[in-house]
Amino acid sequence: MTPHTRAFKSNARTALADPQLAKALAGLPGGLVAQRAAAKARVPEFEQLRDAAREIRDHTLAHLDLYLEGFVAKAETAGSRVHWAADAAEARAIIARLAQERGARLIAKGKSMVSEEIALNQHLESLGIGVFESDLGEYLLQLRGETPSHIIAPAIHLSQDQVEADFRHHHAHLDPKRNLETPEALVAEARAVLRERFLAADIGITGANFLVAETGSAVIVTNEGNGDLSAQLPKTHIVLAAIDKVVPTLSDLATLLRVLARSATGQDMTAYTSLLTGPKAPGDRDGPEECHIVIVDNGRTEMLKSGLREALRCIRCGACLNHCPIYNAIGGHAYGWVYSGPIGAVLTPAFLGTEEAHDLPSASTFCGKCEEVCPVKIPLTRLMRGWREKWLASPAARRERSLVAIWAFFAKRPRLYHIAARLGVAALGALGRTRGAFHWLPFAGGWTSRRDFPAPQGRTFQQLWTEHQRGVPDEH
Amino acid sequence: MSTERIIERVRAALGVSNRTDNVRQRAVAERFSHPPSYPRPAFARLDGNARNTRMISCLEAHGTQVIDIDNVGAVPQSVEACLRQYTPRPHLTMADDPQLSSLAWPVSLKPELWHGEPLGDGHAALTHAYAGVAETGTLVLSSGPESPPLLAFLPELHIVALSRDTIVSSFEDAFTLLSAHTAPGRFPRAINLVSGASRTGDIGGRIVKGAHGPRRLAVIIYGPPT
Repeated sequence: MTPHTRAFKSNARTALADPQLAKALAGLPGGLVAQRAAAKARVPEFEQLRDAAREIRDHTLAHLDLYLEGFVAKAETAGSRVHWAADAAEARAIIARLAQERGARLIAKGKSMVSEEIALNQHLESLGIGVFESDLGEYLLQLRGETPSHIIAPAIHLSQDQVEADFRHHHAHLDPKRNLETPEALVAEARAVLRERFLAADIGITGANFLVAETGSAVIVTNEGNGDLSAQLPKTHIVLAAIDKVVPTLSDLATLLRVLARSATGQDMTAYTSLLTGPKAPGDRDGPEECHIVIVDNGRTEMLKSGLREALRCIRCGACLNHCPIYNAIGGHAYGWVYSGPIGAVLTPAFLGTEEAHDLPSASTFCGKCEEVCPVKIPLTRLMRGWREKWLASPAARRERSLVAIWAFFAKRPRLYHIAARLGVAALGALGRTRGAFHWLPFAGGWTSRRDFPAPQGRTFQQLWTEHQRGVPDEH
Repeated sequence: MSTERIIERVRAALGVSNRTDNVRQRAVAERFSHPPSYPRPAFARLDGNARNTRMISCLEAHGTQVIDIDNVGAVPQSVEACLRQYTPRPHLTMADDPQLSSLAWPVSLKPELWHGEPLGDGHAALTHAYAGVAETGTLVLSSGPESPPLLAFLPELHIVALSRDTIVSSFEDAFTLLSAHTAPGRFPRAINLVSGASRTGDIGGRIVKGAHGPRRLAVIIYGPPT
């Protein structure tokens, strides 16, 4: 997707002024946050599981080359074809070629954050290949031309009324008088509309939550079952996953599954977790004839060496978003790219550069709640602070902070500061004498947008204080 | 990009030189041959009656109907009882599972054999679970001609027969069982871990069942009590 991270500050202002968004986000504390707390409370050993999960991710990343080799060997033995993509463009080209070679006209897509990273849908559509998102939340966004605002609840910003209006508009072939007042009715309609498309799809594309090196399996975790229909119904299944998704063994997978759903939705397990290993076997009545796995780097090897390795532990549960006071206030779209919340503030500068994304790690209260709930204990505040320091040391940041530098020059020299303040206050006093207040002042828009700035009475506080101490009667 | 080039990139990023690095290779080989045993929650280490009870309570906790019987011979009646709850009564389909097929099905109930046709609303499918995982009330379905994965996703009602003696305590135990029963390098094409009916929270944050997969899930646990 096209980033608009540079506009973070104005995005955030717009988001803060959006009552519908505020209403949607107000559901988080009593929803996903409370559900996670309840799920954690049911597992006295949860802290030990988090430590184990972190250890698994660290061990895997430290041996990533070897586990990737192991995964490829097993996946190919099972009959999958593995493709490598260095960046977004290569990944798009590989998938487009696979689709074109098969004459595909319609692609069923499961939820995949990597596909958002590489802007896959737009590319396929530009080649005349139809793509439909099958995760219900993603489908709602596709109808609206929007992007996900949350990793696991992509349409969290939408209201039921908006969904109803979109369905009436886009499902124009259905009876205009039909009842769509309940979430049940809306879900049933989407189910029926999408089921038809599933049956017509030539290719299914899904992401993967994990790639298991021991067996060559792609693991898909969903609640809707859309990933499984995407994987099992069409003739060709394409898995799109990043290099950091690999886990060594099924036993490691067991531990990671124990923390994933509990951290994400507060479920002990989601409805469906599927381990998919190669195309259909002899005698099978269903399953894809071909299975392709596209493994994408797209900047991750850079992160591996640049002090961001810990961020690659991430298993995309979204808990850090749910618990973040900034995310709770502005939602995901303000972040301006694929990933939002604390993990977005850490990942986005790595993908887009600090020039584009430096505002994200700066927009943090550093309350540390994100680290407290992260199932793999990513030191999110330290990583955000690292980006801040990196940005502040850059020439661009120094230019941006030149006004602060001028202020600092005077602040370090009290005598000069007092002279400047006296001049400034006297000037403002003279200018504002007639009206008594300013409706607008340069560099003080933040104040004057909501209230007037009273004109100073001609003397600084320090002057008044000195006079008061000397016993000179106050004018007021 | 070739496998070699991407692996080289990863190695360069990790600051490791080449494949002669025996310490790292040994660590990985060791991990495959002896996966570490991480702490398992106490509820993933149950056996006997406690395990059976955990399985049933977890199934019910995620909204799955549980029918508990002693004898596999009573499976057809249990299926009948399950179907009777719905009007119109769903059409029953199943794959050619040898054990389920060999049961004494009354003519009126005999399931149709599935040959790959699309199923949807108004359909029920009966499948045979490979195992059950008590820690979360999860059904382990292993794909094959007698157990097609789509039967767990296409119909409106999914009924699963689960033998009590295949209920294990943890995911690790289920995976060990699977690995032991498959030839090396031939892991089942699809393992579906099913923990409840299909659901979504994408509209207004409220959970609605039957997003894409079955609206309802029922489990018939058969076998003598533990």
